[in-house]
Amino acid sequence: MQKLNRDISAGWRLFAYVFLIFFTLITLMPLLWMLYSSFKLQGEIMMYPLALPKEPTFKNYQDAWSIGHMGIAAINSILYTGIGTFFTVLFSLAAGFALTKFNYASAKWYYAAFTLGLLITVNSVIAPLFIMETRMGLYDTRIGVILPYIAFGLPMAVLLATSYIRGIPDSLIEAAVIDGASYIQIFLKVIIIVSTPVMATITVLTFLRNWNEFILVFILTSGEHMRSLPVSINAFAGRLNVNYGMQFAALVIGTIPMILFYIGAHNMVIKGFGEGALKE
Amino acid sequence: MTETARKRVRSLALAGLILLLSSTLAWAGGDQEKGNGKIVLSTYFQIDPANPQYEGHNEVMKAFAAAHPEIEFKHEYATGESFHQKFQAMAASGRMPDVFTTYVGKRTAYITETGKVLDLRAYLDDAFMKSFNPAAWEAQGSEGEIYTIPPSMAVCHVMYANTKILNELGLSFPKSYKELLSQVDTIKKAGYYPVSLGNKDQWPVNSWLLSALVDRMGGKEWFQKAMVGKASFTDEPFVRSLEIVKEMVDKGVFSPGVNQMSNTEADQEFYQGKSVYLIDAGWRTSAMTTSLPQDFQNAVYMGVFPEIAGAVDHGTSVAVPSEGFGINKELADDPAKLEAALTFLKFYNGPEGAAIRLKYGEIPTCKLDYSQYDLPRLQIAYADFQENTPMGYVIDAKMDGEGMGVLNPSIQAMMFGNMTPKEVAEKYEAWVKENDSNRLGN
Amino acid sequence: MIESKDKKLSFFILLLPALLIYLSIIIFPIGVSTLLSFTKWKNFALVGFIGVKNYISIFTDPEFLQALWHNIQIMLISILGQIPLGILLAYLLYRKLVRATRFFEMMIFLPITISAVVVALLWNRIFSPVGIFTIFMRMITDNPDYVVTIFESPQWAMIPILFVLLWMHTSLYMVMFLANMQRIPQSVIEAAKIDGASESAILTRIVIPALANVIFTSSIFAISGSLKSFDLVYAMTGGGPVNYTSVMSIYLYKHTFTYNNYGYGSAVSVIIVILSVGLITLSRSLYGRYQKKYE
Repeated sequence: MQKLNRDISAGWRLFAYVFLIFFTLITLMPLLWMLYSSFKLQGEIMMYPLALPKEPTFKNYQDAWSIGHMGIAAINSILYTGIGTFFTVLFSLAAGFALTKFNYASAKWYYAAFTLGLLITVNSVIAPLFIMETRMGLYDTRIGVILPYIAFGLPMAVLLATSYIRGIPDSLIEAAVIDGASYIQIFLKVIIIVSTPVMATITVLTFLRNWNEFILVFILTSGEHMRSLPVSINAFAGRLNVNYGMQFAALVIGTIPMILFYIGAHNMVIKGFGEGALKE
Repeated sequence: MTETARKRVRSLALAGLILLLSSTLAWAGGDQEKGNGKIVLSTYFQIDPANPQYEGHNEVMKAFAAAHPEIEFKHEYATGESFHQKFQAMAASGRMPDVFTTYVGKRTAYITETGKVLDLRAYLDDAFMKSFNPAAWEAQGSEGEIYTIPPSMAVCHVMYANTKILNELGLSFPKSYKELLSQVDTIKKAGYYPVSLGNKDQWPVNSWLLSALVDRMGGKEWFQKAMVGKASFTDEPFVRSLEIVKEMVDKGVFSPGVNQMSNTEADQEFYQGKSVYLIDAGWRTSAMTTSLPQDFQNAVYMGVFPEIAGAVDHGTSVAVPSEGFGINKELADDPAKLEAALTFLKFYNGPEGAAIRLKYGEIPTCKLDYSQYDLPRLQIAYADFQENTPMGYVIDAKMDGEGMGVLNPSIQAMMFGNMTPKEVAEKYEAWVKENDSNRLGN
Repeated sequence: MIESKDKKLSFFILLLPALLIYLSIIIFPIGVSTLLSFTKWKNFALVGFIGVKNYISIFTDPEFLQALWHNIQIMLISILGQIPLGILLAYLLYRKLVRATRFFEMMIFLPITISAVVVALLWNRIFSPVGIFTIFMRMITDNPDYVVTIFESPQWAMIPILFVLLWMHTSLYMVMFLANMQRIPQSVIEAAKIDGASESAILTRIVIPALANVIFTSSIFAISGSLKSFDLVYAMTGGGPVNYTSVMSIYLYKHTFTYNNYGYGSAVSVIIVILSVGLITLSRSLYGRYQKKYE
């Protein structure tokens, strides 16, 4: 896989290297700076913003962790993101199956409705949503966060799932129908199994989106114990004063899980896209 | 695998899934409030308990918990724009907490002007009110309502100077605006910047400089007239003040990139000894006492913008009672809770709370005998400053917030040379005339 | 094809969970917003029904038009910048023009895993007048007054934001294209090689036409994403200085949550949705025409 393509002009190759190395540098340098700055205390960051830490300290991490309640925030983040993603994937596959393999004329309207969701920002529904949730007793509950996570994940997920499932040969389903399987059984035993690649894609995209989400958790919950990492991190960007050291530490804590997730899921992402997601 | 084995596996998996989901549901429901006979007050404060700036607040809360174990809080905190965003949603849905941050000015008009906050006048006695700096009791509503007890005064204009650099350059704190301009060359030649001021967020020039200039050029009377439409923001005092800001930009008084720097970054520039003056708010002294080395602190002088030729006033600053805590009007029907909330407000702002906050760098509105405390030099300087400086109005505390969305960007455009001071004044006056609640009389 | 008696029921069992959540959490509030866009609000209290007055005010407000223009710039950089760059990067990796393709792939993808708030914060710490870049430039140019003036220019202040968007989002398209390139049969490219086709000819004649579908889908994402972009711009500049980097979502946010005019804000969100629908319909018909030409 890592074999070099030898059969290519030197010009192209040089261009490729210069371009990619440039991209790598602008990505890595700020992140490394953030990383080592998080081991410096506020005074040192203010005085010598660029220098490596003279006496590296974990104090920022300890403070960020304890004062920012980042332990509980991390658990909340994992659960909001995980559960939200799980249901987004499940529901979008089910909807994708219903919208492609049942040949109902109404399907295209449902599909169009989901497409519309791609265009809607959290900001434009947040106020009515808040009022709705308080009326229904969902305000400040974790379900009240997870439901909107699922809702905002669905449009993209349904689109991906629909286009993928449409490509699944009808013969596969017909065979199962002849065997006497119900549609629900077909969904569980055939569609879900065959759709693993697109599931991976939807999972990764939804996960990314949920992990970095801020406004929903912030508006729809109230206590410290309900908050997710981005909301905790934001708390360090104080109103009139900023403790950069602690903020950097919090940023690192919030960013590393995502990078690890990507490294772990990398193959899945590539494969998912490759297996024909995004075909119209 | 046999059929029965497969079935068993499946039912096990199903049971596992159900267990997982049900535990998830329990978790997803959030924590329940536990009643233990205590009076529980819910709060929503624009405060960041993790920020060292609010250490004093945290200490007062601890002291209150010790003094009043019968009262328990269910706290919620937020800062910045997001505080207001959520607060408005709360107000809209009618789910207001019991005690919450309330501004004296227009910033929380969405709760004060919609009758959601208890008027405290009936609950504060004269003796209590007399123990405060009289400036704290400026009317907060059109009928003279008092919604919050201001814990301190927000002094919005101070011109700090680094006297070490001034001495080094053979200069002294300027007596006149002209002298300030004449210092620019000397300061820049020596490799320093004259004045640090971070206006990236658009409001600092307005709050911390323009307000003071307008007070100098027109005085309080003119401003009161302009508010209600008996004078216009296109008048000389306002236009001339804008001209001065523009002139300061043109003559290189500000450090480069004044509109790209957050106010924290401007502080940073001053703390690093790169600039001679810092135009900032008075409450910055508390950060200086904690983050600057002692010899630097000793070199900091707290002054005000120098005298301007043709001004009606000299040596003034501007201030507004700072935001405090208000009480939900609905508590009037719940005597036990109301009592608890009032007890809290009085403790926090009265002598007990004030003494604690004083120790953490604040200058409380509740009068205290400073000689009994061992205070840092800068804090004493700040107390003196408040005592001896006449205070004018802060524009954005008096005028509608939406108008600031017109004025502040225009000031920036003017500083870049894309609008003239006169155009800025005309644009703002046009908006105020049509929309400002002071002019429309509500 | 499939026919059976429980078909209709199954259809709804499968569709309903997604549909219900989606309708109640997104479509219903948007419907409410649409109604509210014809009303005037003050301090979250309804003042009255004012017809299309909000819409007229919005389209006569130079600040909104400026914001709209900035959204269009973002859309252009997405369609003409992120997508071509994504194709190019994917191609470099696909054709294995460099070693360590997997490393570079990760580097390109990294930005999108980082939250916009983090990116903006880092960016500001680097390019502000007290940031590292400025300090460095002041040293080498020996000009103590050096600042990055592009941030202050009414015409060019969007450039840094566009640059960061390019850097952040190209990765997503790169991954989509790379994955789909891997589906092109190797034999087609080998055959072209034998016929003496150059590298750029392979890219333009074989690879890009094979990706037409994906490019179209990507443009839809690009259009909708551009018109609603908020997080990064808000965290980087808040729309300033002046309104030189304001976008429609910031305008919406300000009017709803800072000025409490809920009706006005709702009208802005309706406009954003209508614009997106219009642009996507347009690109759909363009794509349809393109497809016909090639069939």
